[in-house]
Amino acid sequence: MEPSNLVKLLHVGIAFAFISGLIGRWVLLRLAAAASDPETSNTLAHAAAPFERLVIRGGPAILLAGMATAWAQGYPWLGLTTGWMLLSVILLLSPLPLVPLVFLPRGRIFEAALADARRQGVMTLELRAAFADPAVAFARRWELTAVAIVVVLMVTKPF
Amino acid sequence: MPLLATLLKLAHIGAGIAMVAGLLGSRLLNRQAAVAGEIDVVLRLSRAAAPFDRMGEVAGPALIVTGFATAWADGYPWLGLTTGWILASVALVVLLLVLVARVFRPAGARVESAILAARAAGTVTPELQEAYAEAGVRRFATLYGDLVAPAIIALMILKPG
Repeated sequence: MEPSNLVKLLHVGIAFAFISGLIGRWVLLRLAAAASDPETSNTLAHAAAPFERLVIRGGPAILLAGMATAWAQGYPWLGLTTGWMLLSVILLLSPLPLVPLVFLPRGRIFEAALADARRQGVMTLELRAAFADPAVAFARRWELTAVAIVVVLMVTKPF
Repeated sequence: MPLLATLLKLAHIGAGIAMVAGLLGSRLLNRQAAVAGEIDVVLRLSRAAAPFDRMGEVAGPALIVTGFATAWADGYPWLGLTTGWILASVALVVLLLVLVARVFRPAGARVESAILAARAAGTVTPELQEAYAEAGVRRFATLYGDLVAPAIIALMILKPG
């Protein structure tokens, strides 16, 4: 068994956990958005926390394990001179600016709207609007799209 | 890599991701439901686990079919069944599907009926806690469900024989 395969196994394992986190969070937040009462929304939004942790921890880990795999397989410069690897790294890093620009500020608005809706006991217009925020929807779609492109790049190694 | 083989491999990986996400999602939500103190929370979390259960149930057979098709497109003889690691992977998925049918679904039905009874009573009942408790074959099945995906991924990457 080649040592480089063990590093690759770690990389693939982290990738599965990371993508599972993205999917799990997406499914739960969609269910939370479709809920008919704020308590259900609250339960489901908070149930997404373990998936969120997988995404937050998996993102950096997948990059480190990927570069370690490239090094173990003998790619120069940790693979960054190989087109598809460089593009994969750029795509994986591309959602980073969305954290301060979209996720954190919109997340605060969402938390406030959820707390207010729970106090009132109804799904308020503000909470519905927070769930339907187009900036957040775009950011989440971009995260999934970028990861899907990276998976295709990993399999096809096109350039 | 020929286009067909690439597309089949991508479909196979997609099915694998769906199976892992389904297994993980169902496990995480049911674990949260099992320790929840309010019956309404249990109900919400168990309902939220349903899409993940469906994801896993659809992905399992899809994983086998796309796996055979990928092995065929890659030129493995007998759809890969004469290759040790492929045969082992198929056996692991088949056993998982058997456990879903024989252990997880009946256990899920018991939990569902206990949830409905507990909801009528307005509290988390000892019967519900007992239905969530894992013992005997179910404990083995749950442990197997936790380990099978990493084991299959390891076989796919390491291709040990």
